[in-house]
Amino acid sequence: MKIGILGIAHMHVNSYVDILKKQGVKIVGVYDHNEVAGNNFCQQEGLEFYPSLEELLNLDFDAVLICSENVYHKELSLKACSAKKHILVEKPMALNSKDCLEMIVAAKKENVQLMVAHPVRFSKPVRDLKKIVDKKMLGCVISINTSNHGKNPGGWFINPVLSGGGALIDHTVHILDTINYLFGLSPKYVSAFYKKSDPSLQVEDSGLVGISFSDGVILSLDTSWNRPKSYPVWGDAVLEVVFEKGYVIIDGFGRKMKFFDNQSMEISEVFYEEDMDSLMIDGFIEAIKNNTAVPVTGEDGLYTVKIAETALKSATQQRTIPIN
Amino acid sequence: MLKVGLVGLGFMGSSHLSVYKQLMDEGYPVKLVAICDVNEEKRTGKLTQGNIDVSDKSIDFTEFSFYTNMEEMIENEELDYVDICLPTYLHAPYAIKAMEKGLHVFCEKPMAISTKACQEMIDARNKYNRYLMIGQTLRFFPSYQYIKKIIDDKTYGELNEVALFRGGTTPLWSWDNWLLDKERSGGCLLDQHIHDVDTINWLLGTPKAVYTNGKVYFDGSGYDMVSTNYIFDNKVVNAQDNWTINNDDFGFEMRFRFSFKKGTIILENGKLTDYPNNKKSFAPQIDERSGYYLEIKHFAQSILDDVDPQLACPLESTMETIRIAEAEIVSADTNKINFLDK
Repeated sequence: MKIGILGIAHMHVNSYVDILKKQGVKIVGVYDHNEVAGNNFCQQEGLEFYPSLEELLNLDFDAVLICSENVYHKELSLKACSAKKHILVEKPMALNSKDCLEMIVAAKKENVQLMVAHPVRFSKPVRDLKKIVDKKMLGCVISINTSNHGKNPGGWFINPVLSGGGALIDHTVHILDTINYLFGLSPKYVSAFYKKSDPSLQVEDSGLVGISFSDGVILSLDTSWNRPKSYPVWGDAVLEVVFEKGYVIIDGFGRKMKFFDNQSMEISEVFYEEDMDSLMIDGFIEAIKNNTAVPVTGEDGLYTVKIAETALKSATQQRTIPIN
Repeated sequence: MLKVGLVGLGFMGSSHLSVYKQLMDEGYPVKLVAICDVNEEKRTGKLTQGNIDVSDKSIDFTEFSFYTNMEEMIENEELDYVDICLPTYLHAPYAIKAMEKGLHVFCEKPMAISTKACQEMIDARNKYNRYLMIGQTLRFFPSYQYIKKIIDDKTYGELNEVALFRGGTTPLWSWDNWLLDKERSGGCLLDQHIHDVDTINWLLGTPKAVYTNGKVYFDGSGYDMVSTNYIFDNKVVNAQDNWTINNDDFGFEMRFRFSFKKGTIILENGKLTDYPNNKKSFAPQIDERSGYYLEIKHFAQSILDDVDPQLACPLESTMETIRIAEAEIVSADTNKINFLDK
């Protein structure tokens, strides 16, 4: 299998490239609108840089990995569709649900597969929880209290023109994809608040989202870039799920061991299970190789963007917003 | 996502509109949200046909908010930049107003009606710290970029001769016939021939002197026909323009011939041909996209990247083009060779 990379602005591209190399996928070339950044990346990774998107897409390969700034996801996806390449696009799928729909339609029209990089549903704890939900081991779900914390990534993430929004966008999509995967719930109302810890920030770095779903399930979500610099890992994706006959709490990022080192006097935490990014990329490669459905579809991506954009609207307009 | 307001929906405004439509169809993160024109009829998309068919009938005008006043548009819409396609004499005042209101500006060529007005635009850009670029579109045309590369790479050695021509039907389509009003457009010399003046300035720099013959054909117009010899050391450089070739079979034509020590490159009848000395001629492989598309995308990408768009088309340079054109007008008026200060 051969892959082209479109855009390297998102830091996930580094781990994706490592995984692709490990899996024996050939990376035919890399495009980015920023030639300096693109060339630097290619030098580090030993890859070939293409300043022309068209030239890269004219090569013979199977799929593209899109890791550009969010604002270019749609354009790059549409061009990949026209070039008949399958697509793995970083989350959030696009800046708004209208753009997501256009991407879904284009992929169907050109008969290419479109997958959105939502890794949390691939983690071991989420897979384990999925079994509990599907087998109704604790009955039906009643309510969910969840959080997705991280650190402020800076750079283009905090420029709303390029990112479409801050923590409210960046993290809501992670959790809502996990919720969609686990429960397949339809959202009915969204109510959200956001905050900038520093007034000079152009985007919010803290957000609280409340959602009620069509079958009475309620959810609260803390979606924030508020982990301090000293926090031992990047963040978390905690789900507390209240069922009819019990309660489950997991960290969707995986299980951690705590590491106490008297020499450095530091405490660190290490995720020890198989890496969710790796499992996600495997899922994509397998679907393309075997021509089976990708594990996270464009429709799944749209589900999360629709909720995130409604949350942003709710927070801006300070009212509860119905969602269809 | 960049939000754009288009100011002026005449001939060039219509062609820019098509470019925005194409960019939006391609998913490029730019959105034309509003259009401003003094003519209410433009609200429904009645487009101006010039001598090149650049309009697109498939555009749905209900997608855009329509204004007859630019300031009102800027106040009501959250725009990132305006694209100014107004008559030449309005470039400076409107560009300055938009920058004062906090917006970046992409402005059609020629930069302004005079060097004084050009300087006011540059001063405003510095005062309000906004991005400003002039759409001297040939600098983005792949066929002209091809020449630029041949010169820069010294592929064919020394450049010996440059012969440029533009011409076509008289522009009778403009609002209030401003194009045929010397005071508002500067005539064919400042409106159409300016492309070739800019090409010479961009590729060769400022000439030592200009000697221009011009003829005013329409009452009140600027020079409608023009031929200029540009004085450079060891180079023969001439550019001609005539916008009174009134036959639709001709329409519009731009030609160039760049003759080097080891080869000559000619654009004529829309075809670019490279003639290396004593070797087989060939049609170079160049980007098929138009200069209008490439210049607008360059400007939008620069705004997205927060880099100065004028790096590709410096304001000092587009102002120098106006200074050379003014020297040509003086030469034609006095029928004398006119030396330019360095």
